[in-house]
Amino acid sequence: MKRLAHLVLALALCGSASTPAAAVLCAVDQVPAATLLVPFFEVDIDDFNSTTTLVEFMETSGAAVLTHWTLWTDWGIPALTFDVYLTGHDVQTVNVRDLLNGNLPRTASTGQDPGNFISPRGPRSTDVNYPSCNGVLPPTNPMPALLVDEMRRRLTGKPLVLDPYAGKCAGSPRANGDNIARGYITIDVVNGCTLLDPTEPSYYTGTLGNANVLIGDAFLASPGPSFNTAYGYPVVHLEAATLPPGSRSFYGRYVGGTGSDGREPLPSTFVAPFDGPSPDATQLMIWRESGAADTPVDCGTQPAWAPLPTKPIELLDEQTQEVKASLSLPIATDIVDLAADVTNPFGRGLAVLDLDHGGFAGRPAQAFVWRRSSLGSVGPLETAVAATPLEDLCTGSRFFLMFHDGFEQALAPWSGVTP
Amino acid sequence: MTRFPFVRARLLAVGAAWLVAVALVATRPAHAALCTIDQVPAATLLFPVFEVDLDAPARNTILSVTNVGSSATIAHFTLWTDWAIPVLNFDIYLAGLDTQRIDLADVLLQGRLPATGKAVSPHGPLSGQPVSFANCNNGTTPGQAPVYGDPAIPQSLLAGVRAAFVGDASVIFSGKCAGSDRGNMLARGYVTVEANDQCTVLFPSDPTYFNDPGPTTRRNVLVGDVTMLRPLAQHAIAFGAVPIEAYPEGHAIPAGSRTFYGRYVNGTGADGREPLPAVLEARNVDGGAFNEGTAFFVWRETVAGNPAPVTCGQSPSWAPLATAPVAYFDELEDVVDVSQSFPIALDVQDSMNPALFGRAVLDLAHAGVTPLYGAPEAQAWAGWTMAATNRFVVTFPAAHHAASCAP
Repeated sequence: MKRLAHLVLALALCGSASTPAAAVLCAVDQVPAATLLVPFFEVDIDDFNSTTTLVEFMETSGAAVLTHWTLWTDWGIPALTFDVYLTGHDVQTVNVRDLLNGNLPRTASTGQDPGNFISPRGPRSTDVNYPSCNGVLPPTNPMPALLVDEMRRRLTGKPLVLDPYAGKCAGSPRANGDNIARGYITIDVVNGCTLLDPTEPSYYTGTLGNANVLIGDAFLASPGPSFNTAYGYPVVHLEAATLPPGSRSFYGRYVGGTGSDGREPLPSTFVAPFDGPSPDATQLMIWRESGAADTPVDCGTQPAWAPLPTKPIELLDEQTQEVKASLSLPIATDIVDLAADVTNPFGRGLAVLDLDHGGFAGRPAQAFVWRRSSLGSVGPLETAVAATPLEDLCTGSRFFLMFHDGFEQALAPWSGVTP
Repeated sequence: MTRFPFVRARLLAVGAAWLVAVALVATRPAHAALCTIDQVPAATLLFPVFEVDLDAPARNTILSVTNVGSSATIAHFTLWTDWAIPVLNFDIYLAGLDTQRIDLADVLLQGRLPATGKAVSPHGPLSGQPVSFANCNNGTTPGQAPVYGDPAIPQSLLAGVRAAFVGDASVIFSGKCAGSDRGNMLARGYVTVEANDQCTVLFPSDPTYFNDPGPTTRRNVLVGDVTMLRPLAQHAIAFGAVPIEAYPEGHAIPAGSRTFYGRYVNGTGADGREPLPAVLEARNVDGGAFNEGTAFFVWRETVAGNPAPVTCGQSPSWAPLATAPVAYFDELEDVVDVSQSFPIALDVQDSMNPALFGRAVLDLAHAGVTPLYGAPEAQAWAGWTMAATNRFVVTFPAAHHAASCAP
């Protein structure tokens, strides 16, 4: 029952031409990519006016493409997968609240939508048929209530009710009893509609596509009159290419470290300026690569890999005095307030996070960090920007080490440009 | 010699000053994923837009710069008008892991700059040893860069600086204009910052700025961000500074290569900086909660040579920059090509998509750089905002198509 969205079996995989666009790998750059990572989402299920997350994504080449969404819990366990078809130059905005209400984006390729009523085709767009999507697209909304309830339970850390995982939990328990769904999202280019999710080895043997054609952004918004906040940020664009065997890669934990997923990896070390405490405050939204365990566990326990070890955070003030503060980021997604959640003696400065947890032999664990700030001293203002990675994504070499003599030490540049 | 923050009081003759390629010295390659905008430490930062309301505290901009290296560097700031004319530069000493925030209202309204330097900047345990940089004030007596007095910019010059950024006649340009006249007192422009190893009064547009030896380095150690505050609208707009990575020291760059400062080094690649792309994509939403719609912030490469101010009422010779029609898509993938000019180096414009919800493809190439690169692959950067009046705004850098280092 991992794949809740697919109510019928999709069998055939239809291969589409997938020509990787020119890519500069080993860099978090905002260019058309084959996988998008929304590193953090949050939806307050109980309050329509409170937090939700909107994800916008677009096809850039003009060629139609099929995408496969996976909503992951904050333990890195899939909670929902579904397919979204994009005609060329298509743009879709998905409110994650809609997903949690059981309403999926209604799209369809030409085989399911010969009249182009569901997925329109523009004059510069191609529109193709994915036979594997017959009976899958367009989805029937809303999803059955039982499945919606199960999905919500997964994403809010509540005991599941459906077999084979009845009584088990798929996400972290909410200490304060809230009903806020949290996790992260991946959006992959795929070659056909599929019931698979990225935790399964067969996903990487014909299903996953390699066309670097997706761009996207996301924002967390609390649009109600009593909230009035929004933080926008680009999603993480993960380019595809043929990687040398054994390469670090984004889905490396699911392909045995072979690099066969072909997705460029993410770094583990970041630096971010901070302000605080209130009325100014800086929070870090963090995604961490967890273990590959992908099945719910007994409630009251946690996955075998948890808690993820977390190194102390280095905090420097603007006089470059340094303290190291203990930090706990035990699961795949988290928010940390650098004034409230950390023993931070400084009102302003620089935070350095090394989020490698040592769980992967021979390579550092991947991570991503966004910084969001509330500028209460100026007004009710909010901003969000990405933290800066401090290492080479493909080799894992730390920039810090390169700079210790004040000048860059010899390091063979990685020729990451693909044709 | 007293080194005030350098206000551009005269234009340097550029003529046909051709710079030779950097000498091939022993290679010490730094890591860099070049030819793409990736958020990593860099040798140059581009803060693609700033705005300061000179009449009222309605708009201001804060720049943040951090040296993530473990030894000191000189961050050389240049403030450019929206016609890409440099007006003001100054140096800031950054110890290792040091961060400085620059409130541009302090700079443009008060003439204030941070007083930093080997002997006055704190050095923490991770900051490395204090460094004496050439041509810098390495002592404690205020006056010479980077130990600026307070105020650092004499009032006699400050009025001219402000005039330059609002498109008025400026005394520092002999009564000529250096930026567009928008009919208000909103100073607007962009900022570049280099990681240097000397103090200097040169602008990056000076043909000797990238000479070797010279003040610049190829140390990829700077990170930063820019926050524009619009408190009356309850909006704050933040972008990461655009990191412009440098090629490794001694790396030979073929003539005609696209580089960030290519127009100032005559396409020789002597600046050693990776280029920006020409084609960008952005979303547009004008409805729902975002009743105020979508605005684009567009930075563009102009043309070769050291840009000169002009007689007020006229435009620079290169303006308007040619702009290909913007391809505006709606959410049904219908598309219209809209003539929307982004005529100068920095522009802020609303989306002109006839559809309330859609996306835009901005092809910002123009032939003005063809003599440099052999192709019209002019560089650009874009960001966009979607705003709800007096409530909130969300801010995004535009995605870009693959940039090429070669034309």
